[in-house]
Amino acid sequence: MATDQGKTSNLNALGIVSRTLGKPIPEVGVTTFRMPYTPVSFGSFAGPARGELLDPVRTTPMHEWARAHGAVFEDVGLWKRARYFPRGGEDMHAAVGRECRAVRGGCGLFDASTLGKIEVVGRDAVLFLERLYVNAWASLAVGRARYGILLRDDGFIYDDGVVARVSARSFHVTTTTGGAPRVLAMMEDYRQTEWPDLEVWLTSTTEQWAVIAVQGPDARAVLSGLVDIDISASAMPHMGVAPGYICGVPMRLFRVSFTGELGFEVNVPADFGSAVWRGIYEAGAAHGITPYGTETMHVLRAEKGYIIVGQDTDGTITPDDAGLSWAIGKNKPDFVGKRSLARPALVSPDRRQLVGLMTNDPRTVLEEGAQVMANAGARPPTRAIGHVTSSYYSSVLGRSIAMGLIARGRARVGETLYVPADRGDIPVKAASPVFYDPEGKRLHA
Amino acid sequence: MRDLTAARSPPLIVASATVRALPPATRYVLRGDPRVRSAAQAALGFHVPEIPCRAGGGGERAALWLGPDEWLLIAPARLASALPAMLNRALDELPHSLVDVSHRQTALAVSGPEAATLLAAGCPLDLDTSAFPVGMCTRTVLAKAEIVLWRTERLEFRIEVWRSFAAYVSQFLAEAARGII
Repeated sequence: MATDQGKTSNLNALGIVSRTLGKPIPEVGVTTFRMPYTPVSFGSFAGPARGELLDPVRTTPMHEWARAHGAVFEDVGLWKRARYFPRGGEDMHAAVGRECRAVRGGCGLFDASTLGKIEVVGRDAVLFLERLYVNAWASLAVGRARYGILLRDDGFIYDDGVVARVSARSFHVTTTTGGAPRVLAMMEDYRQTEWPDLEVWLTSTTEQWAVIAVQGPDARAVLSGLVDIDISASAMPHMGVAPGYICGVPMRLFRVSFTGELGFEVNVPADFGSAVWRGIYEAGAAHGITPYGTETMHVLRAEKGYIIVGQDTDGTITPDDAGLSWAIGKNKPDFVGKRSLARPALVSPDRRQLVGLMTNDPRTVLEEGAQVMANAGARPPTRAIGHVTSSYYSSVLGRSIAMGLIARGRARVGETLYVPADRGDIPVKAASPVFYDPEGKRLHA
Repeated sequence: MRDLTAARSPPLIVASATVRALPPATRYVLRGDPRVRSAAQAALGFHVPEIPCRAGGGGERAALWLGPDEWLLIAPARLASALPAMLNRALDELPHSLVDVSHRQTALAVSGPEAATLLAAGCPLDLDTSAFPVGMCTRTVLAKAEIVLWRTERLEFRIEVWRSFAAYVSQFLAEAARGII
């Protein structure tokens, strides 16, 4: 309620005006009194929305296990997600370093249940996805998955995820954790208003599945004794999807990786999530299986140059800006955002492009959000040429790594750029954003 | 190989005199046109309503109208395999979508003379029996959570809620009860 609205606050404002003018209130004049005539306490507005009930706290089926194992949680929307699992007084830096090395060197266990999931079903499901996503889906075989990018009609990246074909007429689509409701709403909007002729239906399955990511060179060894299907490299190559059973529980198994390692994501009905997680953890003990959290996930994906929508993109980034042109189906007649991608401003060579940034001093970790300048000593009103989007210390590489959106970034690879900081400019070299295993050999192990 | 098929952990809820957790159930979202509705009804042996916001069947087996092409089917947990098998046979030739959401959500019963008053603390709908009669169901909100609300008896409601919101919903009802009951 502003001070010019309602009797209660209005009188306070008049009191201030009267003092300022040195006149009594009646001489200042009053407005027509409106509600609220009497003060309303903040408690009345808040009602029960206080303390634990301020907002729903969403937890995954594995939450209690994570809590019992000392997880430090972070808020992701309404979700609580395990950020890292400190051991024996470790701080976050030490814990994340240990977790990263464990995944790259053996096997890690990660709760990916919060990822959005949508079951897209119907004769025209494939046509529906063809029209929505930039990718080509008609060629996707049953039992295969592909990384998908969804644009808004303005051509900018809206969401991303993995789309798996689970039968000729049904797809298991994943979205970002935060994007799940809005992606479903966007899909339902297009289905009902633009293409009501299509025979396709959408059902949210975000909470139907508990998702347990098993990642690292030992992932196959850990899982192979628990599942009833052949998960050898030939039977289940990278981006394969198969139904099966794990410890008797029905599962959808994805061979996917957000770490750059050999990896699987075990999807089981959510009530079984906790038991299957514990089963995998116990089976992995011989391999030193290590639970890891979102912070380690962020570092591992950054080492591979995988983007996070909303962190490395900000609603003004095209697939080409993010280095993802390869994902666009070149022969598709149309998809949401296609027309916009051809606009002059969106094909300009001066656009910001995602590149890696390597500090000259490997111990210096850049601030995320920091500006990037073309020249040393540049200060406003000089324009920045870009900014840092992701920045971490990589214990695996023994140095800091960062990604940034830099004007004409790919043409600048090899150049030295400057990040202004309190203690002077930090020189950085523009580089490829893939810092680890650039050939992708580990992914296909 | 270990067998974990008995190791189910449903979401926790805060039970009270008015609120209790209902047992796990088999749930499917059925989407399709009117032919799908009648074929499903014939296969299931209970009413799949064509009237908006009405539930057919009753007790442990029910079909809730949620949209012009959308029904929530509820059956006992022991029918986890039988229900989809039966429906897949009946609907095979018809354009439709049948998706398992048994674990996506959980159910609470709110019962007793104060049930409607309690729900009104967080639900903006008129819950008087004249406006929300027995057998009515709808998507709505309870405070900050989206729910499906179904009046199963004059003094009893069933709430279907996504599992991660179940704790919040039951805590909210417990808090609301402190001021009412």
